[in-house]
Amino acid sequence: MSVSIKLVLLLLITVLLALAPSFISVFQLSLLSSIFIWGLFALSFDLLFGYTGLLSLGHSVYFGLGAYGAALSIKHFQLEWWAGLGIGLLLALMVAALIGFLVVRVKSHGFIIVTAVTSLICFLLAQRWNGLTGGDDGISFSVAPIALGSIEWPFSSQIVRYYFALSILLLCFIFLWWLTRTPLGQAWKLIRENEGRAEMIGYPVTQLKFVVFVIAGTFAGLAGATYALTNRFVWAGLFHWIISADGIIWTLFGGAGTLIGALLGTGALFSIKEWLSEVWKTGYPLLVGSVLLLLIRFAPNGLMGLARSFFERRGRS
Amino acid sequence: MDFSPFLFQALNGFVWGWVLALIALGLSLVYGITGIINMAHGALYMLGAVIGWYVIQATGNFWVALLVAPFIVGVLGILVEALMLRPLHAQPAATIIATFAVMLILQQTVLMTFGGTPQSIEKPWPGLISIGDRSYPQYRLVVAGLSAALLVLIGIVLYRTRVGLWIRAVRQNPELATTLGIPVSLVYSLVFGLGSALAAFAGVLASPIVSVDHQMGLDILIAAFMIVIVGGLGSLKGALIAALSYSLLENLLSALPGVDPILAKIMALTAMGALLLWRPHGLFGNATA
Repeated sequence: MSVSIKLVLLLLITVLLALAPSFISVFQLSLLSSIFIWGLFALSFDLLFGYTGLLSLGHSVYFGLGAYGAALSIKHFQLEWWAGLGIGLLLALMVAALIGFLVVRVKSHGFIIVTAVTSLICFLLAQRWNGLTGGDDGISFSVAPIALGSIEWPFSSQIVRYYFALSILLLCFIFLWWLTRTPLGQAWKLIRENEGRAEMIGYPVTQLKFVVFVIAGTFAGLAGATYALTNRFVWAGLFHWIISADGIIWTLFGGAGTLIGALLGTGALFSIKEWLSEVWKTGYPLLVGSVLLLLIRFAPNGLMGLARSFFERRGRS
Repeated sequence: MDFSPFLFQALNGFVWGWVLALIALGLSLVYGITGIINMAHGALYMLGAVIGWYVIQATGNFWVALLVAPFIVGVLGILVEALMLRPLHAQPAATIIATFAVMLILQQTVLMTFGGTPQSIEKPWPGLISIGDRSYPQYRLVVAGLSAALLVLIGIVLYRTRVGLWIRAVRQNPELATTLGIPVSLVYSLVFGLGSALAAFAGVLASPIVSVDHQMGLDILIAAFMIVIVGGLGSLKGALIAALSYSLLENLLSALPGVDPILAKIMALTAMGALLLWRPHGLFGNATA
């Protein structure tokens, strides 16, 4: 597909999503809002794993930091939503820079384990200082409405939350899409395909990995801050590596290294989970487990890979 | 200063270190030989404890459970490897996803049958020994002893028997091993089965000390992985030393005034993480391992 067709499709989907509140239920709106937020998290993970080949189990750290940065600053200093969002994002950025500086030097399985250890440490820290973080029970807080002149949009309204999450996701998606098409994005792909060759040619591999680690961490932080603002509730479990593993599953299910696949995967799995929770409450992990096993065996490129091979086959005949 | 809390914690750390070494050894063998990064290892440890609980309910005998549960989990491991993981060999990312899927399925199956409430298992060896003015459960020393015996046994199998020779040959070069007539796929199955059985054995051994539930394998998985890397991949000695020092460090730190168990865990994890950054290939590993 050419870029112009993709842009038209993006525009169409945007218009459709923007009009959605007029024809779908409040429950479906809240489901879509969650998909937007976790979809952004999956997008940021796709940058790290799908584009650069860095499998991090510590990505939940930045989601948690973004969420807590926003929640605690708003709760304790009564900041506006945008300041909370900014603080969450900055906190994630700074910690990603600090941890990233250390961990990008470790290769292959070492990287997976070191990043998993960072999320285990942060999770335990959040449980240990439960006076601040609320531990497993979490903390809830309230946010002042978004004010524009005399118009006020309160976060207690599902429609406001929907448009808020949608706008943030759209802005991030467009930015990340552009980013992956720049020479920087191409260099990341080179590292994924052949790290040794990238080094031979003279690319500063460690620095490039550091940059993608920080950018991905920052966007995960933004997703976390958006989660905090729309749920007005955060808990220590957001730091757990199992959240990073969810990001891996969503990304792979949709198709890693495609951005849109991360969103599709999140959307599909969230919808399946919702649908299953009515039919067979405890079945979701079993279904996800089985689907993953089939997927990794028969369709390692996820939904996007399936779609691509379908179109290619049609194009040939 | 009263040193008895330190002695007490040193003993705890020593005992738990042997259990961790068993878990880490299984993980290390599986990764070193089959190339599978086994995210389900913690779930196999949990499954061992849960099956152990069922066997104890049925027979009332802990020692039967200690034999039966690892056997069942070992057979299950062989099946999982042959049916699901064999086609994915040598693709670390793919094995992570597949074994993570196995972990989800195991955890959920246990949650649906065993329930979400943590269960406890009575110590099969009720005696106490006195250390100074404190008493210490003898069972914990039995745990350390049994783990040590099993580790020695594995060492003998690896370095003194024909099967051990096969395993080491496959580890060095699977293609060459095939040409020499070594049944490589059988070795893969055996190793995965052995790794699973080791995890389950550790699970049953630990079950009277910790509480048994479907999530008990989650965090121990990360600790075990860290130990494997710190000890150096495929190094039996390294895994043992790393497990003992990690566990001793954590328990001794928790005996310090003002340090609670979670903080001690955080500090020990940070120390090991720093060690990994300093020596990415571990203490006894080399860059090619």
